[in-house]
Amino acid sequence: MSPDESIPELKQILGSLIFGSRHPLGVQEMRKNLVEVAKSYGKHAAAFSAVKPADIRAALAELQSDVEKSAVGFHLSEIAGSYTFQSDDRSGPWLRHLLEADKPHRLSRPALETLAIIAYRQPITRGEIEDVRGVSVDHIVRVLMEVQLVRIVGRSKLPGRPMLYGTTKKFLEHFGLADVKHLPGIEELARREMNQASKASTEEKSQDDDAPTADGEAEEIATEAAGDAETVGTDDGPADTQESD
Amino acid sequence: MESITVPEEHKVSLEIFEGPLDLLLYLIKRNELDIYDIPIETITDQYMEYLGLMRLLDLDIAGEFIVMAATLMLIKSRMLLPVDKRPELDEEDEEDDPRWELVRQLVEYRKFKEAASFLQEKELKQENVFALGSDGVELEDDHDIGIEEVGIFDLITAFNSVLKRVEERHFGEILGDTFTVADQIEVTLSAVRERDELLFTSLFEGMASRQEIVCTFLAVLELIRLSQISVIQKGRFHEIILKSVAA
Repeated sequence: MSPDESIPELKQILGSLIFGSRHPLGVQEMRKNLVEVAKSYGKHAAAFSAVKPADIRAALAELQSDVEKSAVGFHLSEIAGSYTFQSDDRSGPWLRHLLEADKPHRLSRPALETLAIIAYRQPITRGEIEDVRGVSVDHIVRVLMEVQLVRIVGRSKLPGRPMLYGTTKKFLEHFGLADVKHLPGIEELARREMNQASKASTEEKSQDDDAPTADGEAEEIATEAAGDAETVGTDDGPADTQESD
Repeated sequence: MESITVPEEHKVSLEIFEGPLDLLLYLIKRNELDIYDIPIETITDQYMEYLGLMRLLDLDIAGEFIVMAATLMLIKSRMLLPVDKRPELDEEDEEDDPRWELVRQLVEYRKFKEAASFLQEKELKQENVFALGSDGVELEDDHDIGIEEVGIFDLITAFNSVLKRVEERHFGEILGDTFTVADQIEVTLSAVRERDELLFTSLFEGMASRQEIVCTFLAVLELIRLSQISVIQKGRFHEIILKSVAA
C-alpha cells in the first residue's frame, strides 16, 4: 500500500518526529531531517526543502497549543533546548506505578540554595558561592557534581586559578526548564553585587552579566572528565515550557 | 551553659550545612523582624543563644559562625557610638549605618533562598513527569546533602524548649544512669515506629536528665541523617512531627 500522498502540515510532521524519536529533538535536528528528506524522498517532501528554524518554531508553538487544548494527559515540552512529549504531572502516581519507578529523591534546602546561586551566577567560583551563602559549600558542590547537576565550566583568571562552576543539561531536565535564561529574576540576580571584597575580582572578569556560558571570561577546559559536553544554554528561541493547569 | 559530656565513641558527627546567614534569616523570620531595620541587640542575643545550644550539642560549628558572632558584636558596639565618633573603616563607607553591609548580604542571600523555593516547586512537579527516553537524575540516599524538610534551626529551637522545661522542674541528675546516643537511637526508633507518627516534644516526656535529653536529640538527628525517620512541620514554626519511614 502506498502512503497517503496528501501533504501533511509542518506541525504534523514535527509532531510525528517528536513522537517517534528515541530522544528529545532540537530545532536544528528537525530542520536537518526535513531538508534531507526533501532531497532523498522528493515528491511532496520537497515542499520543506527550504524550511527555516523560525518556521519550525512557529509550527511547534502551534502544535503545543493544539496539544494543550486537547487536554490529553501529555504536553509538548521544551527541556534543555530540545522538544519531547511529557506526561502531565498530575498523573504522576499512576505512571510511577506502571513504570515501577523509584521513589523520588529530593534535594535538601542547603543543596537547593547552593544550586540556585550557581544557576543564576554561573560561571562562578567556589569562593564566590561561599560569599553569598556565608559558609563553606565544599561538600555540597562535590555532591552536586556527583549527581551531575553541576559541572566545571572553566577556570577563573584570578590568582590561584580557581575552578568555575555551572549547571548541566541534567539540571534543566531535573527541574523541567527549557533554558537557564528562563529562571525568574535572572537579570536581577545574575548581576553580581558590588561589595569591597568582590570589586577587584569582578573588574578582572567580563561585564557580561546575563550570558550563562563562559565565553571569553575564562579558559574553557575539556569537559570529558565531567562527562557532559553539552553547553548549558542554547540559542533556540524561548518556547514555553510545560505550563501547569 | 556547660556542655554535656557525650561519651566519645557515641559522638554524632553531624555536618551542618547551614551557615550564620541561614541562622540570622531564620531568626529574622521567626521574630518577624524588619530586615532593613534589624534590632541588633535582640538578634545578637538570640544568635549567641543558638551558638551556645549548638556547642552544647557538640555540633560541628563552622568557623564562620564565630566570625559572625564577632561581626555582630562589632556592629552592636558601633551603633552605640554617636555618629560623629564612629571610626571610618573605609573611605568608601558611604553608609552611616553599621548594619548596612550585613543587611545587604542578608537581602541578597534571601533572594537566592526564594530562587531555591522556585527550584523546589519545579523539582516536585517534575518528579511526576515522565518522558520518552529521558534520564532522570538518580539522587542516591547516602549522598547526605543534609536534613530534609525541617531545618536544623527549627530542631534546635524545639530542643531548646524541651531543655528549658526540664530545667524549670529542677530535677537532679539521676546518679548511675548513663545515657548514650546509641541507646537513644534504639529507644527513639522503636517509639516512632510503634506510633508511626509522634510529636517531637512527646519523645522527651518524662525525661529528667539533661544527658538523656541531649543524647535523645542527637539520636533524632542521626536517625534523620540515616533516613530511618522523617521530620515534618505542618507549617513554618509549628510543632515538629517525627514519622517512621516505610521499610
